[in-house]
Parts: sequence; C-alpha cells; structure tokens
Amino acid sequence: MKTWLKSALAAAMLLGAAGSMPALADDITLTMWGQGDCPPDNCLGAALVDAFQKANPGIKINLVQQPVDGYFTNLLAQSVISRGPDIASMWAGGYMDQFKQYMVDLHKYVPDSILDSVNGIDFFSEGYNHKNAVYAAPNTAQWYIGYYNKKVFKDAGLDKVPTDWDELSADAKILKDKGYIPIVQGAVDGGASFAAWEDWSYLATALPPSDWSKMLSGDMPYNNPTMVAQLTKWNQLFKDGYFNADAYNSPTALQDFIAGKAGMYLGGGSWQAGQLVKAMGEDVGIIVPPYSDTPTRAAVSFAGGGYAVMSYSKNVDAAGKFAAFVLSDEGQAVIAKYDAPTRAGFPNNNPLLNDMASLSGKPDTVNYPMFDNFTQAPVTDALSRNVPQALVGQMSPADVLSSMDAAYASLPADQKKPISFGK
Amino acid sequence: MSVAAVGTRKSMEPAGRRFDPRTFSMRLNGVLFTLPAMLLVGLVMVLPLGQAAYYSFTNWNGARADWTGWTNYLNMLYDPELRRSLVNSLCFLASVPFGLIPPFIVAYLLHKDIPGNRLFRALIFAPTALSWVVIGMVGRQFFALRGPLSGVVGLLGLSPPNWLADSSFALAAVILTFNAAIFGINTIIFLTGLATVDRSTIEAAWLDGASERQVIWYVILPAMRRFVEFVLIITVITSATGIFAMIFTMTGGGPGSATLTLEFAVWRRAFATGGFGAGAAIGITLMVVTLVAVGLIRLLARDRSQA
Repeated sequence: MKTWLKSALAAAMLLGAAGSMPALADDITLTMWGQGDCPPDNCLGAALVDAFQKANPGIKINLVQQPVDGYFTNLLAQSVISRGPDIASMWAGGYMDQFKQYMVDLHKYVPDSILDSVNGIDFFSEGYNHKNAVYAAPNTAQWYIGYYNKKVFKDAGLDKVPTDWDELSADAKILKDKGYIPIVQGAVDGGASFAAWEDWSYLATALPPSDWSKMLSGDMPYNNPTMVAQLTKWNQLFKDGYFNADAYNSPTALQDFIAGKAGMYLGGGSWQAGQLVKAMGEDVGIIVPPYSDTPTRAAVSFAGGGYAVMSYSKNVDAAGKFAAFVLSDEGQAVIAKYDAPTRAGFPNNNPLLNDMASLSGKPDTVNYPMFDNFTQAPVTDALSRNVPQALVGQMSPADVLSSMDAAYASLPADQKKPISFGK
Repeated sequence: MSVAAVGTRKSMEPAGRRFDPRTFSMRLNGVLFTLPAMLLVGLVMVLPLGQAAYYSFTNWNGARADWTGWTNYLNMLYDPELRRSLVNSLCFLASVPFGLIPPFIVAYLLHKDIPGNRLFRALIFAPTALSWVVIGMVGRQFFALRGPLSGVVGLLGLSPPNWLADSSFALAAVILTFNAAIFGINTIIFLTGLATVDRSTIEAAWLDGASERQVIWYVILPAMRRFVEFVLIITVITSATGIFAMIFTMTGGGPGSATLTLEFAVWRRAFATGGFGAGAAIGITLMVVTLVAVGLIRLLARDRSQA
C-alpha cells in the first residue's frame, strides 16, 4: 500500500475513533438540576459543584434550582423527550422508579469498595440491593423533623417541647396568648401551597409501620378511623388559631420562624438545619411533630436526595465523574460542612443534625421511612394536593382520605403490587 | 403588466386533457414555493397532532403504549376532576367579555386625545411585556393574605379570606388576573382599530345628530368588526390554551381542583400521574372545544356581516 494511502487511512481511523470516544474534552458543560431554594451562602449542591470543578478543571456544571413542587413531573416531561439535565437530583422509592429507564448504573464510575460503605445506597438500587444497578449517588441522610424556637418558648414560660396532641394544644394556646404564632406553615419550597409530605408522615405514625405497608399496598384504606381522627385533630389546631391564617400558601413561613414570630415549624426537614443554625444559632432546636395521643416515639428518616446521571446526557462519563466525586472522600468532606454525609468518618458540626441522629438511634424510637417515597404517582398527587386542604378546612378529612383511596383504585393492575420498605 | 405575463382568461382555463407547459410550470412553482412552509407545518403541527391523537387511544405511560380504544375519552365523562376542569374552563370563556369591554372603553377614551394620552398608553401597554409566570407571581402577591387587596379589605374593617387558598374565591382571583393581564394588549389592538375608522363618517354622524352611544354602536363598532373579532378569538384561545404558567405559579391548579382548567388537567394527568395517554385525550378534547368556540365566533361574525 502506498505511503500516502496508509497515512490517509490512519488519519481517517484516528478521526473516526475520536468521534466515537466519550467526550471528555476541555470544555464540557453539564447541567444539573437541584430542588427547591438553595441560598447562595448555604447551598450544598453549589458547594459540591465548586469543589468538583476545582478538581476537574475541564468540566463546568450549571446548577439549576427547580421548584420542589412539580420537580419530578418536570423532570419526567424533559426525560421523555431526552431534553432533561445531565445530572438530576433524585429521591428514592416511588419517585425514582419512574426514571429507571433514564438513569445510568453508577457501578461503572464508583468502585465497589466505596459503594459498600455508603449508607442508604440500597434505597437507590434495583431491588434495594446495591449489588444490582445503582441509580443515584445519595448525598445525605435525611429526616423529616420539626423545629422550635428556644427563645420564644422560654419567653412563653415553656421549658420543654410538647410530645402529644394535648400538650401541643396547651403549649400552642400559651404561645398564642403571648402574641406568637404557635405553629407556622407555608409554601416554603416555592410552590403554590405547602407540601404536606412531612406532616402526613408524622400524622401517619399513629399507625405502626406494618399498617403503612397495608395502606400503600391497598390492603387497608387510607380512609380509616385512625387517619380520620389524626387529620381532624390537625385541623382543630388550625380552627383554634394555632397556625398562621395563611398556612396553606404563606410564602414567608420560614422567614417568620427565623424572625422569632413563631414558636414552632413542624413541617420541616434536616435539609433546613444548616440554614436555621446559621440564622438562629443556639435558639433553634428540633421537635418531633407530636401528632400522637401518647408521647411520640417516632422518627421519620430516609436516605436523602441523590444525584442521578441521566442516560440521554451527551456527556455521560463526565456526569458519572460527578456522581463518583459525591461519594469520594473529597465529596464527603464537602457534604459534612453542610449536612449529614452518607459515609462514616466525616463528622458534621451541625448540632441539629447530631440531635436527629441521636433521636433515630435511641432504643425506644420507632423509625419510619418517608411515606411519600413509596406512594404511587396518582396517590402522591392526591396527597400533596388535598392533605393541605384538610389542615385549613377546605376539605373534610374523610374526603381527603377518600381521594387518596380513589387515586389508588385508579392505578393500572401492574402498579397495584405490595410495597416494600426495603431493608 | 403585459397580457402575456397575466395570461388571458382562456389560457388560464383547463384545456381539456391537453398538456399546457406554462400552466404546469406555474402550478409547479406554486407547489415548490409553498413546499417549505407545508413541510414545516407538517413537521411541527400536523405530525405531533397526529401522534397525540393516536396516543389518546392508548394507555401510553411515556415508555409503552397499548391500544385502549375510546377508554380515555369515556373515563373523562366519569372523572369529577375533569368535569370540574371543564366547568372552570367555561368560566374563563364566560369571562371573555370582561377582557373585551373595558379595553374597548379605555381605547376609545385614549383615542379622544385626553390629557396624558401618551403616558396612559405607555402605562397600559408596558405590562404586556411580562411573561405569564411573572403575571402569576404578581397575582399571587396581590391576592396574598398579607397582600394589598387584603390590606384594603382590612382597612374597611372586614376580615379578608385567604383568597387563593379558599375554593370560593380562588377561581375568581385567577380569572381576574387573566383579564387584567390581557387588558393592555387588547387595548392596543382596539386603539389600532379605532385609528382605521374613517373620521368623516363619524363627523357625518355627529352632524346628523347621533348621540355618542349611537356613534359607537352604529358607526365605530361595525367599522371595527374585524378587530373585535380578532380580539375575541385571541382572547378565547388564550383563555383556553395559554395560561398554564399563570395558574401554575398562582395556585398550582388548587386548592384541590378549584382552579384546574382543561389545559392544566392535560399537564396534571400526563405528568403528575404518569397517564400520558389520558393527558393526550384531554388535550385533543381541549383542541376540539377551542376550535368549536372559535368556529362559532367566526360563524356569528359572518352572519352579522352578511346581515
């Protein structure tokens, strides 16, 4: 073969190979979707992105915060047409199930030795076993939890937090008489109304975990006497004026709590701990929403959000590097500055998060998962739209619960299967 | 223009089966010139519409679609949420006169060269540059329990409701915001229409002793018929298919289904519950309802012009 022909063939092969290689060139830009508000000075997602970019100068990540309300529907809409982000914030359970066909197995990017050491990784894995496909890199351990303002409690002469309905009602009256909003609630995540997932989970702790499985699997109606009674008591607090009047959709609920206008904020989660400690210092403490006839022993916790690499990304390998970074020592050290990391050996200095971990670790604590992580999409939709209405008296508890039963009944047969909480 | 360029009547008529190269060439040119536009419309309108129509007869969940016949359409008849969304959509439709009459009155006043005319025009038109998302956010603030409307109600010694959280008021609040949002653009269209009315006809009517009401009713409105029809049609179409973002930011379709429209129901059914086939069926129904409404308007307008 002539020399020039050989050279031309070699050049053509090189060009062809370059064209088919995974793109890891110098100027890769990825898009990552986060959820909810992310204050510039207290944003874990942004901190992870910054650290990752420093470690990988050739890769840029545009972090786009999406409203929590409708996040998964928007992500699904974009995924169906392959226009979603390269990296997406992901929640485990039912939220994640609908995206399995769009997510990449992270085994290719994360060593097994690290996967074995990650708490909560099974929740993000096929069949709740990380030896199977792993769909997302969990970034934090999370709790649904309430917060109270110690300074406000002290001013009202309250020296301990309420632990059941009667105590909650009595303390709320004292706070109200003192001029405070006893319990503040609102659309803190940028949605049109508040998301009742946290409240619902604690309201449902009136039932044992085994009954949760029955409700989720359709073996026990949502419209049962226990849940009707729970929602009725919850609504009674609103009727008595113990919630802010615009609890359904107040855009300033969290600011009001931070500003010391309210005694308790019961619809929160561990992801707010950093922001609250920063704003309130030692004045803020955790409180288990005391939606219980007897002193509550419940704690609702789950694997926190994770980062999924979307299969339609044009830069899957670069996105995979980010997922690997989150679980690496460097990534865990970044997480520890903001939240509870998922691997041992990276201590966190947020006292609220340590309190949550202690709560879950108590021998008499009954640990529940986050209920909405297991509900089917139509049931989740009915829950998020109608449960807030039960609080403000726009719908009766029985009607709210019936709407959830109707949503379950509308499921196709293949979705009516027993729900497992995994390990 | 030469006779050759236009062609005689005889040469333009079909000449039996005889092949006329010039006629063929003209037709071919016509087809070629319109082909890109037809292809574009076919790709971005007809094809997706055909797909949506097909999926409306399936149980498509985003990944898999099995043929289910008329099931999605029949289910709509028995779904209380969809019945509510249809009623809400009809309420929006019924509010359309409020989106037409005040803009016409304001346009008429501005057309009469009142003092501050230019400033008013700018103030009225400026909000039309806002996106529906921003309009929704402004509406949400306006109707918030600690917002300006509640403040005014409070000053009157009354206890304001939480407008957007109360199913008795939420729909009215959203409809009011919609009509406020289209006020500016409709006013500008009417102003443009008023500028086209022959002033001498109006002056003749004045001289004949017609009152202002008679001039508006018998001279100006008939002369502006095309503009009124245009504003009516775009307002109807916008109310039916163009305000998803405003509702999403103001109420999310809630409380419950209080502000759910057919347009919003498409999104909720398809994406919030994963029923893309059912969502497509609602979308097709919405399109038919809108086309029927627009067709009726066109029919009425034609009858009136012929009368």
